[in-house]
Amino acid sequence: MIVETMLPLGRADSGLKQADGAVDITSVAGDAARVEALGFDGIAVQDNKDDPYVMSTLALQATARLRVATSVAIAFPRSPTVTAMTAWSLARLSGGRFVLGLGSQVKGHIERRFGGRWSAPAPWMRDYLRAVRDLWSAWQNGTPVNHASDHYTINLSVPIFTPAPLACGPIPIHLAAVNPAMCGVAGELADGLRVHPICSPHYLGRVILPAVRKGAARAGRVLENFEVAVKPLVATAADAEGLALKREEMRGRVAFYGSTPAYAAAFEAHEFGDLAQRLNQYSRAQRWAEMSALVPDDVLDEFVTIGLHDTIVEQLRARYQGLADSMEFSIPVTNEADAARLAAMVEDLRR
Amino acid sequence: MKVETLLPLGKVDPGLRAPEQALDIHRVGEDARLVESLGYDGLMVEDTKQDPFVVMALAATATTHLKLGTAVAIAFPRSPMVTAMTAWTLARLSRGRFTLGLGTQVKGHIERRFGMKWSAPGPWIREYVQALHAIWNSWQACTPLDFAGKHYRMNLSVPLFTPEPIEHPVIPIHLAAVNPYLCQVAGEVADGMRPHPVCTAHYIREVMLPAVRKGAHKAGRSLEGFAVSIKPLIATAPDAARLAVRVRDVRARVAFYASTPAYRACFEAHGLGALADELQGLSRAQRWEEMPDRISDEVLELYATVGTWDEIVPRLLARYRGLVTHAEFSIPVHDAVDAARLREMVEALHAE
Repeated sequence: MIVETMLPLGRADSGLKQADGAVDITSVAGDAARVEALGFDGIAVQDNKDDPYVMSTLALQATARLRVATSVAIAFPRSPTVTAMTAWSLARLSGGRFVLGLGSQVKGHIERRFGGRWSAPAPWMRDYLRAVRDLWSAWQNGTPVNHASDHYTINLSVPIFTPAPLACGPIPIHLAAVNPAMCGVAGELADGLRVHPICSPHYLGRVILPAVRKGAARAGRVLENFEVAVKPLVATAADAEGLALKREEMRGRVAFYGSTPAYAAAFEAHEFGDLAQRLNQYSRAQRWAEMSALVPDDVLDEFVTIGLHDTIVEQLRARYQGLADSMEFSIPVTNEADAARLAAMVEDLRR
Repeated sequence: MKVETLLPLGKVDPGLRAPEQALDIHRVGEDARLVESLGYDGLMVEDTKQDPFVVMALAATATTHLKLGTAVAIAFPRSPMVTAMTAWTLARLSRGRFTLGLGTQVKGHIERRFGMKWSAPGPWIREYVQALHAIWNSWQACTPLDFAGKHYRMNLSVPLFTPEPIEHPVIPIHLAAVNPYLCQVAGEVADGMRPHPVCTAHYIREVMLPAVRKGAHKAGRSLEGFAVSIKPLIATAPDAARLAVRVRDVRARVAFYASTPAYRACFEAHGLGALADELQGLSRAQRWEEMPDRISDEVLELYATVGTWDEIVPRLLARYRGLVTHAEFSIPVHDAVDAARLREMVEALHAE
């Protein structure tokens, strides 16, 4: 298993709430060097409160071996030419250690946060990825770009705006996906899939991977080196008392995801569709405080891997072996003992 | 005046051709430290073959007091929310040393290079800058964003995607400009203007600055602290023999600019509209080789500052002192002797 972490170490997926620990942009370089020293394979950066490409720059510049992936950068608010150029700069800077993870976001964010126009996301993303790839191949081969799709027409090549070819290999593109249509686009065009935390192993095996394979078949592709990257919901702690606390935090997060219509499919696959509907009604009524109590233990166990530090790696392996190729995992590090424990866990998980 | 440079040192504006030396992304940190040690006020980056914000991040971590800026990043292919967040990250990372220089580009590039729809650039960039200010104000004041323009409507604030306030929340915005309308927009909403290299001292004084003042007046703003940052066309070399090569290059560049319809106003202001038309005709007929000869020494002198290393600084000061606040200038640095020479020139340009 390839093991990645977000920054800061031990940060748990926060749903749409404030993150537990915010990234401090001035510490990214130091933190990245530390992550490398702990034996991780990679760092994943999000696109929420800081520019993910600036964070990637700092992490890549501070390391020699580590891979850095955006997980994920929102595609549509940047022209494909902008994204292609940024990824090209980072690939060159790092000698090929950058992974371009892209996501579509949802209508409300594209329209009301980014001030853009919305369109059906899967066909749009297909055009976007093709445009990025067409630009890259034009730059690599020194040929004029000529991309024409429903969403983009790009056919102007000017020497001063044309980057030189890269010495490293092609830049991997990973796509964030929850629903089958976007999984299909990943299978058609991407090098990997960034699976949302709410996707249980069951949903991954039953819905997501078949949709990816279907997309690949449609495109006549063999998915030999396709990477399935997961970011599991995890509740872990050194002792039972700490674990009980983490477990309740995760119950709140599952309740939040259940209330979000975009994730309904992940609940329906478990026949928890009724629960998702109820959670959605509660959230519309702003009855946030009551939502956690609606999530019973058996539902929690489907979505969250829960265990003490001593057993969590084995539990994660048991759940995800054969399904995922890379995984985000970390625990908070506040002293040398934590660091040693995390290094051992990473080593174990990488086996 | 304050002195800025692009990387690599000694880079000359190439018009639309490929530059002789490209920026090497692996050397940005080292070069930025050198620029800081030479007494420069600012390091600028263009948006051509590298992501300019990636370059800025590398320069920010390598330096402590050098100002950093895009000169310029193309605005429209990035949502204002994206640009606002990138600038916020760089302002935090550099502890307030970042200036966001923005440009509109032209229709052909926005449509055919970036794959987007075009719209009249003046009103569009005005709204873009207003949107940036609205976003930054909402982040700093922790109030919900509510921006309603013709191009952008933004009214969704979600805690997870809302950056915290920063120590230096006033991020200067400079606008690239040639024509009076954009100068006016700069006066209305921006903190500075970056005239294109084709803009002569006369054109800046007689056409651009009056337009800036008109915009400021319209918006009821004071122009106290408004930056005018130029990237003058320069031909300079250690001696007369090597200068001749530079003069040949800059003559070709003036010819190229004269052939470009977007820059016609800069030639008309000098009574050279007919020359611009002639060169445009030659360019359309792809008679590129004949174009430089149409630029007489007299016309060359109007658009470019020419002189050996001993002569160039006083000539730049004579042209631009009192008119502009910042100028881009550098010579190539290969050794300690070059570095010492450039340090002296930068210091001399600082004269007020």
